[in-house]
Amino acid sequence: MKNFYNMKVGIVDLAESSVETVPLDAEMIAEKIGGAAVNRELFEKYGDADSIILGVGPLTGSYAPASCLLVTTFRSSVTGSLSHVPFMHRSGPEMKFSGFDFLVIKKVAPRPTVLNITEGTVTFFPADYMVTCEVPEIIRSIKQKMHRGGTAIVTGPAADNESPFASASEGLWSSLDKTGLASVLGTKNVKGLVFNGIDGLPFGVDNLAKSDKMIRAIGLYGPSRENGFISVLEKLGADDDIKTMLHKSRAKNIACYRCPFPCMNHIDFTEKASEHMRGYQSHREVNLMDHVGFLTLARKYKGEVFELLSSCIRLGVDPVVVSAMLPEGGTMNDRLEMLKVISAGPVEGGLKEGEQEGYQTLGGIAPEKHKLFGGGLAPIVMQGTEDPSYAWENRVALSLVLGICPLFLIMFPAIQEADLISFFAPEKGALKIFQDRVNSSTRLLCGH
Amino acid sequence: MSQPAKEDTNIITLDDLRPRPKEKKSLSEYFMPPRHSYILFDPQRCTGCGTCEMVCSQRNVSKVAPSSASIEVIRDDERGKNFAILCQHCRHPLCLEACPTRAIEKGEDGIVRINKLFCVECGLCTMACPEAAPLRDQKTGGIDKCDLCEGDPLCVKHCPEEALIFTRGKGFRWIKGLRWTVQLLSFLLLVVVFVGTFCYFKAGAVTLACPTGLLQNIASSGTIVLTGVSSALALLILTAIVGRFFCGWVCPFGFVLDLVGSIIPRKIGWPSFLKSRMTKYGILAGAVGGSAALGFQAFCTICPIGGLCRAYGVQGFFKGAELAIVPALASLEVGQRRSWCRYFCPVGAVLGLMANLHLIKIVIGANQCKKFSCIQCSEVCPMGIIDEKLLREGVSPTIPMTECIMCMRCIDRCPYDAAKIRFRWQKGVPGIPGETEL
Repeated sequence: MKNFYNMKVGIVDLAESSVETVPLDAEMIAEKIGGAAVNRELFEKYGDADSIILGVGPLTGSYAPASCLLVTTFRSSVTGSLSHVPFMHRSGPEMKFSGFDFLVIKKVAPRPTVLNITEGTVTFFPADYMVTCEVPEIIRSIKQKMHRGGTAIVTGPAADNESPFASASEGLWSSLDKTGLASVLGTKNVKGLVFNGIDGLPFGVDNLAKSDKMIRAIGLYGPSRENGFISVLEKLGADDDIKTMLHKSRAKNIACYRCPFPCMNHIDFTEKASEHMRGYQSHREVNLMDHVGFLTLARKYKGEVFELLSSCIRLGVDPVVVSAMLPEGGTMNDRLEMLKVISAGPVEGGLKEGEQEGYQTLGGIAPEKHKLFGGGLAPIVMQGTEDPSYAWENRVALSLVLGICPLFLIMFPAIQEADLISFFAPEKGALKIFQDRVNSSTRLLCGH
Repeated sequence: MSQPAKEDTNIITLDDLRPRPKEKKSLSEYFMPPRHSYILFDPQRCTGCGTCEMVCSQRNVSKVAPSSASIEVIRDDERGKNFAILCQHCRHPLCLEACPTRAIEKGEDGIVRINKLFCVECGLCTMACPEAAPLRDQKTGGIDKCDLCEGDPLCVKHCPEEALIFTRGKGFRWIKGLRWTVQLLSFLLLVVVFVGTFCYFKAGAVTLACPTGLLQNIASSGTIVLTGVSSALALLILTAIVGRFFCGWVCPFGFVLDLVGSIIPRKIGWPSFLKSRMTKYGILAGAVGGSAALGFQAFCTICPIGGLCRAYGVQGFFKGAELAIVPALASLEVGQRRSWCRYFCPVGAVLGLMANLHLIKIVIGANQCKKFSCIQCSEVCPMGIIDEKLLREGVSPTIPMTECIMCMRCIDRCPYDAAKIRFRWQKGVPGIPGETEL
């Protein structure tokens, strides 16, 4: 499994602005495999109560389909226990190619800081000027520090204002963080994490053919314009109005790293005229990757969903909570004003309702299990299993250990665990051993 | 400046091994240009998954390191657009000209390669390339450039969305072959078989006539003969439907100009005051006015088309003076192709007026066209009506049908299928269905 890791852990002390690089324990990797399972170990070994661990799986960045995962582990203020928030798109491979497999972020920075992770080093940039800036402004500013293809996880004004409903954003794509990662980053004075992966790893070239075969087997080779965001919403039980609205405005399908299933959308929409600017129409764009957040908002505010979601991303707040706390009636201006209030700091009440509203489509999955994995993953139950909730948890945990997109594994149950493990353990004997270890890691994560 | 003489000519230096730029076209290149292999990128299909970068870097540095790939996907999250930067293996590569160590060469197979032995990683090629396709490896600082995996590109093979398409370009250009055949047959028919029939042809009840000749006839005689009008209508109606098809495919003098133009080099630039497309309308007005004043068809006596059509046979070549106009006007080709047709031909002027009614048109979709590395349509257009500047700016240019001779060279030559024939009322251009030309 050595070819699948850099074998490096970075321990970042924010208070001292220093980084200690320690070798990744080969035995631990052999035992726990990677991703969230190793994050958990590192949290216990190096972390303090409010540490954040970032990690990748063995398959992250490799030829395996949808090998885009980066998983963050921290103690959630929402659940009071450890939470594993997955980040997709390109953050996993970029972190791995930046020279670190795992990062332990400890203590509190004396001032707002951006961490630039590249070539096995971490550089600290002061980010005072970014405080209260909206996410697009921060991203534009950070881009100057990025190499080509780099990516960044940032927090918006909501995290600066210590709002409990803050949500981190990967670039302009938002994220599945609904358990308070952004708040923890905010309390640590971390405005952003920039990953510039300019190196690489020699994943076996024979894995490419294996991966292509796997993708063909699930029928995902070839143009897939009709798939994407909508097909995930369909599984979540979105009604026809929402699907039609998306069909009408869908601009482009976007996929994560090495993913044959583009489940994200870029949308062009026209901003509605505000009260005092009647007749004025403005062309706007928004990226959709948070299926649950979008669906919750769309069910309540159909025509205004894109505008509201765009504002949520700009301010860095969780759309599920926003949907519960915004008033039913009133004008769009009222809602936008309320959004600003939500992002400006702690607001009394509404959260419980919001949770009920947002997670009404959980389909039998226990809310605490859903929140264990960030609370933003699409709760799509796998049909034909005896206990759908158990199957969902296991599938997500598997993806978080191996470094594969959890949504991809949930959407395509035909992909076998053994097929994925065979990428790094091609021999039969080793495959069996690693299968057992992966199973024990997933059980540990799920708390079974 | 003279080079210092080498003391020992037996010593071979690296400089001797470097390829030298090719100065002249070989004879075979005139008739069968070398194939242009390249990869087409479809931005609508690309989802930005980066598989192309992965497989490319595997070939370049034997590991998955997207930043060491020879293809780069630019992901514009704000606008939701993905672009691929990859070498187009241009016909006339600017990187090759810019390389101070002659490390870049274009092979017989059309692939532009960097010889790492000679490359000093100065990066001038990346600056010279309009696509910025030679990419600097961020890890090693070296220059990576696509070599099409020696004819079997991995990125194309593994792209899950089929957003990359490998093409070896067009081999035999069938429109070109057909046009030359039609032109040759028309020349033989009008000049050799039916001598003088372009000016006036009568077979039983069917009569055909040159429309410019007819106008002069009306002006000189002062009478309108209905059969004369109807006989000129055939060509005018054809022009109203398909544009100046006659000029591009049938005109015998046009054929002569094309032949001369493909052989003689163009070395002289016309002064700008001569390059007015309105001149031909002035000549037309002069021909009609002159005919009215002189009482005979004044322009017909010096018309190069008429001269050619009447020149063959007993009364033909020996008329000498009339035929002398043909080489005289053909020599204008040293300035620009089809100079006569562009600026002076009154027959073209009449047909141009009718072509305003055109039922079909030629459109070029800038979105589908690889603006920087190609512009072949503009190069091959004999009438010089495709605006290269607009194309480079990414705007679909309007082709003026009054000037277009419907030779279809642009359609034939475009490797990206960006030039198409459309009906007049159709709004879309290739690449973007809803977009119209400027």
